[in-house]
Amino acid sequence: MKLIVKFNLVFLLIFIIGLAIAAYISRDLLQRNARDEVLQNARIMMESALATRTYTSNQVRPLLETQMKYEFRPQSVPAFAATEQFNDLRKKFSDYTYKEATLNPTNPRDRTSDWETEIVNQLRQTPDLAEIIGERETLTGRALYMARPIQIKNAACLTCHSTVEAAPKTMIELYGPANGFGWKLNEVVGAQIVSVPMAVPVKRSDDTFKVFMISLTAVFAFIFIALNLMLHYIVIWPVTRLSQIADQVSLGKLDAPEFTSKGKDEISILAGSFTRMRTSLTQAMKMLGE
Amino acid sequence: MFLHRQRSVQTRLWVTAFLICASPLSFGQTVGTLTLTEGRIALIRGATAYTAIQGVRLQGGDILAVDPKGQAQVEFQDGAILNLAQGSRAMLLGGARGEEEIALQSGWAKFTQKKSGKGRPYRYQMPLARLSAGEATGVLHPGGDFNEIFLESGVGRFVELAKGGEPAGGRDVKGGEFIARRSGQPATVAPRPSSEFIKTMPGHFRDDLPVLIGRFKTRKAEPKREHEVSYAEVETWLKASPSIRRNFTDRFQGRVKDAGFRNKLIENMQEHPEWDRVLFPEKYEPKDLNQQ
Repeated sequence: MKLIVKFNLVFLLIFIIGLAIAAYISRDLLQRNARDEVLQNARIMMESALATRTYTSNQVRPLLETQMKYEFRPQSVPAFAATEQFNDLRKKFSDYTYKEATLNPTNPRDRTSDWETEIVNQLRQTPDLAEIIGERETLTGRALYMARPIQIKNAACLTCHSTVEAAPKTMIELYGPANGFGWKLNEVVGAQIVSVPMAVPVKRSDDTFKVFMISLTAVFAFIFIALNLMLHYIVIWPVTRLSQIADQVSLGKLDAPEFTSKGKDEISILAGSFTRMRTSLTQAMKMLGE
Repeated sequence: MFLHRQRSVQTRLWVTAFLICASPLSFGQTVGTLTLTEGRIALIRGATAYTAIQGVRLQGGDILAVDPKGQAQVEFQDGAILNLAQGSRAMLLGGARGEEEIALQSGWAKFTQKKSGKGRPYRYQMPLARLSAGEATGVLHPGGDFNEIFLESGVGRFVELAKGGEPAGGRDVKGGEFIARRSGQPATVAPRPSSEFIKTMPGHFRDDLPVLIGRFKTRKAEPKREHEVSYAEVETWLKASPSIRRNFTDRFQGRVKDAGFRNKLIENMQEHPEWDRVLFPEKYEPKDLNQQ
């Protein structure tokens, strides 16, 4: 088997192993980065919702207290404000969702669905659990969700959610007396759930992976060609030429052309040694002839 | 006998004059400031009609009339606020009877008196009812043949008024209650204002009344004099209950010289019979006993 074939076989083997390792590591890294990016988006959405709740509670609600004596203003409710703000966002980013999923809500739109009920119950059973992160399939693809408990820590919340008698009459007029009552202090009544689509970051991760692998393969190919050329011109051709001259000298053609090689590398040393050997052989043959 | 009666009348006149002057908020004394106006605000002071603007100091006895789409806010010296809107007509009667008294004839009014006001209770008198309240906030709607009151917060005393302005029963009112009184019917109390009340109420009554008096501490405006009042401009007041129009014979006596005013007084004499003595004093002169 020719040297260059052996060399190429070894090179290809090393290339394949290297590519496989690179693919495994980079794919894992890119997928983790994609998930982290999605998670970061979800955290930002969640914090934005919390900020809206706080702003509503601290700044908007006090301004609407007098109005509430005449007509209930849902804009004064932190949960309503956060949900409405997010619904506006959804007009441009329809795959993102935010919901204050509640087991027994005042506003029916906040009632938990099946999978949300499971999450809320899990949070109720594990009081120390700060958040739940998971993935689920949706109609538009895979989505990552983040859920945090809605726990009644402020007794002021019970003004509207303890008994019908204690609640503002304007609120009863709007929502009726059947829903959203019986809450207790420190009870987990629901969960804030942010759902963020994974499709875009995952697609970006896959695209980046493909580009990376194609680039790596292209680099390997370039190295392969370059090495082959180098091997051919630096090693194989000089050795082949030396071999041809040696064959001629061995057949008695002492006037075969000399092989010259510039430089001080191993081929040049070999060429120098061959030339000296050839000169010695020629002199020896002359001496024998005489 | 004649001299005895003369001295008796003189004594009563002196006592009345003394009581009027002794009242802490007698006519002519500043009771508040007009801090917000929208639309034209008509002011009747004495027997003269003015146009009032923001910064005008109001006196006891002043009568205000607001455009159907306008509003006027009065901030009293004790911190109480009264906002008049949608054709409201109000008269600042003063505080001769231990309460600051304000008469309302039409339109809408919202009042608020905070704890820090340290003022006396206010009495809001409408044709069919009156409300006395201290630290409280409420909305009043004196309609043509109905009066409505919604007490947003605080407590008050509600009194039904019969024709002629005589009290005809009363009850305490607490924050959140809505009282409606229709002419000829007893008052009804509800735990919430009616939807019609809320729908027709001026929108800005749904919010707290702003405190604007700080802008007028050093800024004062004078009302623009228009003309001497006509009968039409004070007709509803002349025909109001006796407790409201108690000083009117003195106040508008100068207008009797105007033929139009005089004729209208005569035409509507049954609504305000006290003017008969002013227009026809000869009917009330004591007869000479010697001639009898």
